[in-house]
Amino acid sequence: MRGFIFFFYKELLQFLRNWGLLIFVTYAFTLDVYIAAVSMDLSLKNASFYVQDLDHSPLSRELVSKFQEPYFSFKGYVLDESQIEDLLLRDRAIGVLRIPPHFEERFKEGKRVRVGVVVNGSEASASNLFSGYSSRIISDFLLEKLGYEEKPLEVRKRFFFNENAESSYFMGVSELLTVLTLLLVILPASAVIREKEMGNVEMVLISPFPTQLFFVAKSLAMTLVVLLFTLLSLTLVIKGVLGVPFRGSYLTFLLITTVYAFATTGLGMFIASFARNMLQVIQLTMMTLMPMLYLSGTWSPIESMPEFFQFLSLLMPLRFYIESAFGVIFKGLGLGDLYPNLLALSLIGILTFLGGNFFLSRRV
Amino acid sequence: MRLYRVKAIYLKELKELLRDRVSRVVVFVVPFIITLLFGYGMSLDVENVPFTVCDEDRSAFSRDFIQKIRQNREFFDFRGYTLSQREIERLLLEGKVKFGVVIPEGFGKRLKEGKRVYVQVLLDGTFPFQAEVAGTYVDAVANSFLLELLPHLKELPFSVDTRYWFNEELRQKYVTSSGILAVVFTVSPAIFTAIIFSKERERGTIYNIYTSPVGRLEYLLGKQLLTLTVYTVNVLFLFGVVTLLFKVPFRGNFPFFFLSTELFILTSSSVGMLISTFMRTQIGAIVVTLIITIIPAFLYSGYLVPVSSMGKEAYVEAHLFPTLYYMNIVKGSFLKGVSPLLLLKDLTVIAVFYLVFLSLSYFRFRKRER
Repeated sequence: MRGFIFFFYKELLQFLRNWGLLIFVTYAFTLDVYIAAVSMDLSLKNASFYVQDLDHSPLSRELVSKFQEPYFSFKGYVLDESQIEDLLLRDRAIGVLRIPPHFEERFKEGKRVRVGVVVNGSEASASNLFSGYSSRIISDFLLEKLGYEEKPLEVRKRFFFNENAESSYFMGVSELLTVLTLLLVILPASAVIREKEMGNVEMVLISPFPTQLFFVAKSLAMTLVVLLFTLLSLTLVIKGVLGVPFRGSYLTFLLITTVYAFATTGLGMFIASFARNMLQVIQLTMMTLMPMLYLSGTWSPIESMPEFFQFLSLLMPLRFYIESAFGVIFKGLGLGDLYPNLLALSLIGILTFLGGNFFLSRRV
Repeated sequence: MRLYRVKAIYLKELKELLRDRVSRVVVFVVPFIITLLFGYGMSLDVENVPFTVCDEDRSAFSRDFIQKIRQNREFFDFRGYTLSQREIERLLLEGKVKFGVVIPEGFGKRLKEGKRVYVQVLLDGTFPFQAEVAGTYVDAVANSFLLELLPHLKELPFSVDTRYWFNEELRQKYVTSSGILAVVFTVSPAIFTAIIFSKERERGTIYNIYTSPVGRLEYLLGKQLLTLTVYTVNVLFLFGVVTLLFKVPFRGNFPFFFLSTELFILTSSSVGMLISTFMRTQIGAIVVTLIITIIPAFLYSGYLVPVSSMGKEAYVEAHLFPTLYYMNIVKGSFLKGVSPLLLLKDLTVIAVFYLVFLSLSYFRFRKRER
């Protein structure tokens, strides 16, 4: 036991003395989470648009004035087709609004008018939202002008768990879960590879200290490091700076994360047992983690995936964790609601952890 | 500079890679997996959202309305009726449904009398993007329901013509899967190069170079040549994946696209090279490269957030990193079919970046320990 504590302590010291790594881990849990939360905004914000107004009437100007910030940002008028083409080719605008000649005159006479919207289809989420929002604004505006001051049928929306549908809440938590998973795999694996590359493993092999315990000490030490940083990130960044309403208890969240950590460090140990150098560690981690993160619903909801992927996602331990983590943070779920997930996770966790460590010490 | 020395360094690196059983395969598999995941995966199209309905009215009108929502099988997945709003809230909490529609009592009666009615939609806001899009879809259903209901409104005196340029059916898959090429070719050559440089330092084999007649530039170029070789294979392969598997139309000039991609790979590889001259350990070089490349590649390249709608700071920041210019070339070549002449400017900027990074690395790299 003394030897175990010694190795545990050695790992922590080694981590703390590696300045580069320490700075990186701090960065990943604080600034990186913050940047991702603030800038990964898929909702429509300040979408630049131009107007080709062939009518120049009060009505057309009023219509343009309905396209307001923060969704839209009016950039100016264009005169002809070639200018529109140039703007869109250079990505200067998400879309161009085209108002036909005699727009007001014809509309007042009750004749049919056609308002055109040209959308730059080469943007990821903005194109879709731009076309949806703009056609709604145009219809609402013209309906109102026709005398339907109030719509007879109204859809009232209420968002639960995130009342203003604030995208930074989701992105921040999702990034934290990604960072946490990545480090839970990479830190223990690289701690092992370092010993392998430097040849220190041989020393442990011939010492009376059991090799398995040597690796267990490593993964436990790194788990502790990640948990501490998670707590830091939760209190300081997620709750503090981003202001995410943390509805559950920290204790529940940390408990679930600990259980999850066993499964993930176990995976790290598997990777470490295969890899001989850092290049391999990094590549193998990317190869296993990216699909895992994707399939577990960290980035996009599971229902929207192709069916085959939905099936695969059932096999991922991460999915149970993500579900529980979002549940604790946003919905305030407690252990009482989450125990099936927790049970499944602990089972997978213990198996992978023991398996990974056992496999590693066999292959060294 | 002697070419045969560059060749010697290059051959040494190539052999090292070929003899590394895991790496020689994995180096090609990782970019492939990333492209595959983002092509299929970064699914911004919201589909199959599970929902429930609480019909407190039970009239012909309310059934009609529900039927209208259920018809959109592509977007919505009906999971049965609920009896009360409380039950919807419970289902939302358990994550069984993503939204619930409540139709209040008197819905049909009031509609018939021409009075105002409302429908309440309770949404799970955990995934805000999905929730907002799903809400917009319900809005659209309500709108078309209303138009059918009011006979005198059936022929609206106006219409909105929406046309999508470059991507006529607005397939987001086209944008996310071709754009990921710019992200992959920013991050992964940089990391690969950072590893092959910092490895020698950590293991001490760099002393062989210090004592050999190999010049600094020869050493740098020899290693970069390996990165170029590995990623040329990747470029051709991923180009095939994007055009054949994801069926993204390629409308540009292939030789031009290929050449600019090669130049861009040299540029991102020199980012990794420059970083590794500052770091002593491999893990250090890798993590710093990851930090420096991933954020600009995803956020400031125009991949997810359009450059034209960025704030001033982000806009400036985006122009300080080469990925944005390469993204222009990717979008121009795949979706837009821009002529190479118009893209020449972007290519020149990339070339300038390369020369700057290469000369900085040349000055930073010394053939002796500091």
